[in-house]
Amino acid sequence: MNSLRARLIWGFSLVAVVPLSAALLLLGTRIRQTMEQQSAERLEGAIRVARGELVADGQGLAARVALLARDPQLKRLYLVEAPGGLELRQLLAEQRFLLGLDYLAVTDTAGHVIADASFAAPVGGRAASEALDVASLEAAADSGLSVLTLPSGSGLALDARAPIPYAESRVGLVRGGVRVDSTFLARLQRLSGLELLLRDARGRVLATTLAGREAPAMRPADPTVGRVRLAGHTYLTREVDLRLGAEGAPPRLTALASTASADDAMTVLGSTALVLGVLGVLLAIVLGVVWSHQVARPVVRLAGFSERISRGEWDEPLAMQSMRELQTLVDALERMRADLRTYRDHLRASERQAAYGQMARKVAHEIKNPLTPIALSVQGLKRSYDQKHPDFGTTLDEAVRTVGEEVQRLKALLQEFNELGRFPPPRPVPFVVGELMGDLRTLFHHDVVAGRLAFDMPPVVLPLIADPGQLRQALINLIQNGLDATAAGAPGGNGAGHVRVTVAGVPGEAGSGDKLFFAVSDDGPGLTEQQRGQLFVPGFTTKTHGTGLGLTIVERIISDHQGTIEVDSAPERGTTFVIQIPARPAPEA
Amino acid sequence: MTRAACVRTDAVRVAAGAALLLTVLEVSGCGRAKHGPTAAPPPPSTAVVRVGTLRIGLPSPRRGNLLFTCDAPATAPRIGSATYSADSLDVTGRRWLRTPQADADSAGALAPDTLVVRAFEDATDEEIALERGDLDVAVFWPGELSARMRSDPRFRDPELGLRSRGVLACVAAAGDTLAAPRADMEVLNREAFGGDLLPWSELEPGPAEGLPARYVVDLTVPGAKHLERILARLPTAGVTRTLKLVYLDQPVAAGDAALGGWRTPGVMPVFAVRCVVLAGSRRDAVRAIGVHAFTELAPCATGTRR
Repeated sequence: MNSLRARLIWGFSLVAVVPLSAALLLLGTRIRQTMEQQSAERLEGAIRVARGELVADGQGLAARVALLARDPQLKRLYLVEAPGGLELRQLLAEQRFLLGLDYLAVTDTAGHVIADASFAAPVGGRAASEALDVASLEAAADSGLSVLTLPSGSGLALDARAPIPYAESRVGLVRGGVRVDSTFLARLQRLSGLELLLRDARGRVLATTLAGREAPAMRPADPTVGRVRLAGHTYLTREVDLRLGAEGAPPRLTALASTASADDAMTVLGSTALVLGVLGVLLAIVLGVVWSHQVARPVVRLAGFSERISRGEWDEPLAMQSMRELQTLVDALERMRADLRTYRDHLRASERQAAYGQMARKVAHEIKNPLTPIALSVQGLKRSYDQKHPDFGTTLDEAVRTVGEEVQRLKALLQEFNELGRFPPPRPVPFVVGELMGDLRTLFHHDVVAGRLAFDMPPVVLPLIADPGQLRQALINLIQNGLDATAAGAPGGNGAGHVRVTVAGVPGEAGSGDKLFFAVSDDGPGLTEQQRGQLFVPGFTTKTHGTGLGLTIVERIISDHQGTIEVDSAPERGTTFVIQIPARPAPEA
Repeated sequence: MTRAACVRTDAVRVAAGAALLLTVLEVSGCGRAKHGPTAAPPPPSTAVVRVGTLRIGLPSPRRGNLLFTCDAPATAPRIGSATYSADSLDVTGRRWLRTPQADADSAGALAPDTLVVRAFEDATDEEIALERGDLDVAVFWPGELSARMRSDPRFRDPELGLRSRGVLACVAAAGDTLAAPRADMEVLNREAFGGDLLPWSELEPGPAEGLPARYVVDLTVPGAKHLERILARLPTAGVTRTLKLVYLDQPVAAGDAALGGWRTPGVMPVFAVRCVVLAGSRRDAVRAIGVHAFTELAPCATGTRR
């Protein structure tokens, strides 16, 4: 998560997935609500259709029964002939067949069956015994229409009763009905397309279109829509009382609307959402990688550039074209680099001028030092000559020797300054560090034998591309400084000090080459904080007869070799100089 | 079961009073055609029997017929000169007691002491009541009696009583004074009224029979549509004249008709209204009193006015 790429991918993924998920969630909810509302409306419509069909059937039945009740033939047979005569039963059987009824009977005003079509000869190829026995039905003395439960529990019956009028009074009832069973439900199912279920008042299932499936539990007969699950399918359900008249506990009609289409739509929507989500994430990853690469690459280059700046490599300009926002940073860094280089050049010039001034003072001082004994010697020689001093010859000899020595010092001093001023650029050649260490061991053979100097080298070949002469000069200066600091005549020195030269090769980190470390440490008196600050200033020295140019030369050599030199020193803890140079110099930009 | 295998259920029914014991074989499932043996109606009794109580069924005022509607309230029954007043002890309001008075005619002399009058809104109920023996006499509007009753041997050749008012007449165009074709009117009488109407030609000689005509029925006649449908089935080839059938609530008697002023040229009476009077066991009494007296009992005082 710390990388820009990971953050971009996460960000894009969230941007791609979260709105999509929210949109799909809202869409899914809306779709489900809409489909459930449609299912509820279908349920309501089916209920209306069912009731309408039932009412229409009932009205038709009532009209037929009422018409039959006024039939003169039936009335005559009922009133004139013997009660329950065969002729009346036969007429009822004929009318039951013609009117398409499941039962038909004539009862007296108390509801007692006088003649029943089920006790007559076959009519129209249908046995009268197929008709329901009216006597087995619930007694009904009033005229009207009702839905009643058949005694066999095989369904319901639409029961119509019409009075037989006779001379301004009712002398009996014609009672007829049709079954409201699975056939009726099948007709309603064709009209509504819903699953339907008939129950009696006690909740017992009388007929259903749910072939082979368990019926749901009975619900309250209210306008609310419930949800049930049958055989792995979800249904919206609603129940209604099938009450047409003033019957007591009415039977129930349950309508069930499958939510399979809604569930399928939600499944498809879910799959689509998953696919779109995956595609969104993949797209986010691709965009994250591409855009993070586009963003990170200049950032990495800028970071490398910053590192070079921090290392003081200010000569190479930042040549990069990037996005507008980063281009501003690029331009700023490039201006900063140019400014730093300008400042460095100015600083160098200032340092050079300061060094020249200090050098001039040093030269004047150094030149002045020999001039004093020369002047004293010349003055003493002149005085001895003027006074005709008897040991003029001795004085002359001493003066000549003194002047010669001081002139020789002046020559050496001028030679050093001359060399510093004419210091050439390094000429790197490949060589092995062990050879350099062997030369140094030979050069300082006396000190090595005396145990004052030691060399530590790993038993491996350390190749190096550098100017061996300049590197040798730098190491000689550091070793000599250490030996001088621990010499018996040095300030704080006790003559028992030691100097150790350690060489090590370190593999480079990613993007950089191998490096070599040279550590020259002594156990001398060490340096104060102030001394450490002026250590590489030309002319600064802690030695009695030093020129103060040795470490300046060392720093310049190491800098020309693209290396660094650090000093670790404290009073009474000795001093360690650590040189770090690349095993092979970087190509010139 | 075939008709040949009808089950016989014996029932004995008394008909025509004590004069004749008629055995009726009621055959279930054999249809109306075989409803009992054919038996000739009993001959009228030579002895005049005065009936104490007579149960009479009449058309209810709300019971319409093809010719007129009855919008007049029921009045106290009257048979001949005999008048009746309601029995105050009868809660049904059907019982009428004869008012004591000097009788002036034969009908009044033979009128029963008590009349039980029931008005039926349905002719079938009236027929059933007669069949059940709930009535002694039943009066029907022309054409009301069912074919079953007409074919029933017990009620074959029913008595027809002429009402004093009510004429079905043809109104022709100006100048057309010829009568409607007899055959057309016979068809109308047979199919619409079961032959119950009395052809006016039996009352008085009419004008010469004219050419076939196209008929329209006055819209004030309740059964105008039905009558027109029947008349429309008549041949119309070459028909050039149009006759309009109207019902006139006018007296039938010639003298009264003259007083009524409806006998004008172009108005040709076709039928007079007769009512069917069925009387199973009391036929003799009915005949003795006079059938026409019973037709006037129907509480339809005025009928449709022209």
